[in-house]
Amino acid sequence: MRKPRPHKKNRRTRARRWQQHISFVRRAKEVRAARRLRHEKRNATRIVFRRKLLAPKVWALQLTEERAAFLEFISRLDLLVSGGIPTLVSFERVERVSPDATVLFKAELQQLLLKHPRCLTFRRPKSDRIQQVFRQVGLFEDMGLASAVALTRDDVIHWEYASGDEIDNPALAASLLKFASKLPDADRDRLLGSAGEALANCVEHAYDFKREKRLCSPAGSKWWAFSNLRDNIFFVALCDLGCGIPTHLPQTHLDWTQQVMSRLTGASLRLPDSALIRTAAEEGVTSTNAKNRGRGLPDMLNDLHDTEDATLRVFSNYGMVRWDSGRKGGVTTNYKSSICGTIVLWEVRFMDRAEAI
Amino acid sequence: MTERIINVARDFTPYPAGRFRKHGRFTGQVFREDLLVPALRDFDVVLVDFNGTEGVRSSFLDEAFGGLVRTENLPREIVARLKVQVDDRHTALEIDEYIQKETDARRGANPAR
Repeated sequence: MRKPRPHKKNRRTRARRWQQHISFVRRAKEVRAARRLRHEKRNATRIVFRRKLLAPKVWALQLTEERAAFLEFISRLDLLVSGGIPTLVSFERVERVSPDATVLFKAELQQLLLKHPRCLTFRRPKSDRIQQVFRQVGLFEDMGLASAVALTRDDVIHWEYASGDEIDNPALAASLLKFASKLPDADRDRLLGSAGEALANCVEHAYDFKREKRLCSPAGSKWWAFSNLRDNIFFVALCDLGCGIPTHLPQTHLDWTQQVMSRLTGASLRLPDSALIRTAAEEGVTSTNAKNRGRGLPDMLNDLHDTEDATLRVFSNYGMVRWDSGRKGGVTTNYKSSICGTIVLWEVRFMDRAEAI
Repeated sequence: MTERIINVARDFTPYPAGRFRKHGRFTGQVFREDLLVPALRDFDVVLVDFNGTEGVRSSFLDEAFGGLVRTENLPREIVARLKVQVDDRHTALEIDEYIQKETDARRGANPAR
């Protein structure tokens, strides 16, 4: 049987119970709010795993396997950083770097750091030589890492670096002339002339079309240059991250046998990149079709053949062509991976003036 | 008879390169518009001295000298006041070639001029 409710309650008791109820509700609300806050905080500090990317042992563009590994590294770096994923790049196992690959890496890294400055962290190379190279060409500075490594190696201290976004031949010349004064006058004129033409090609044409296969592209007509002098070999590399020479040229530039094959089979034949680079340089083919245009690369070849002992290499996207002074025709090589840009390399071998006398 | 000597290395830069103004400070268009055309308008003879320059190539030369006829549309008499002093014979021939080509092209398009 139910217990009968008391008809009357003491007012004080009812008031006290009401107060207890209110404080209980308030307390419960506070607890719930605190629990919600903890939950929100936990969500806000969601852990994003930092990806670790190992730089390959050898950085080179002319050796097929090493080139593939190096370009795969750059491609992954571009993909991760452009996607906003925090990435730790470890250079610990890097042992050998070539100037052409290093100038390409510096160009790519500067662009990535410019667009996604907070995504990248770095681990220094273990090799003393590589640390010296990184310091000499300003890679540590780009990464925001202080370096106390002493520059002692003879094969490192003669590296020079310049970059810009206009045809600034005086700036490039200032960088080149630090060492080029050792060259014979005529060779120096040819080298500066060729470098000026390469610079003009880069600023005027390289960025006309979209860059393939890379998410990060420079905003202006940017160029990067390395030069080096060692054992009477003067070396210059000029790099851009543009669309590449093959993209610029008409893809229909086929010789008559290819044209016949194309008509018979009904298929459109695409020339390999190296063939297009060679055509541009040896025949002066240009996309503008304007008078007196497309002479930059042929002028470079003329300068090369006037020089006693020199080599010119042009890397662009998947192709590379090498010309040697005094030897007719370029040697073409095609690779499976693209550098997504263009690098022009000169190597001038000369005798010391003192030796020559 | 008034004469103006433009020493490219001293008055412009020892390392000129490239074509258009938008691409750099020391290009052919800048040289033509800022130094060459004003000099040709104000003086009877203009001597362009290339001594001291290094690495002067076709893109700069064509825009600077070919552009006198092609872009500035200067009459033959004015362009004829131009003289070039250069050690390298090839460069002198190249400049003549660019001016001559443009003059021929203009004559072909408009035989009356």
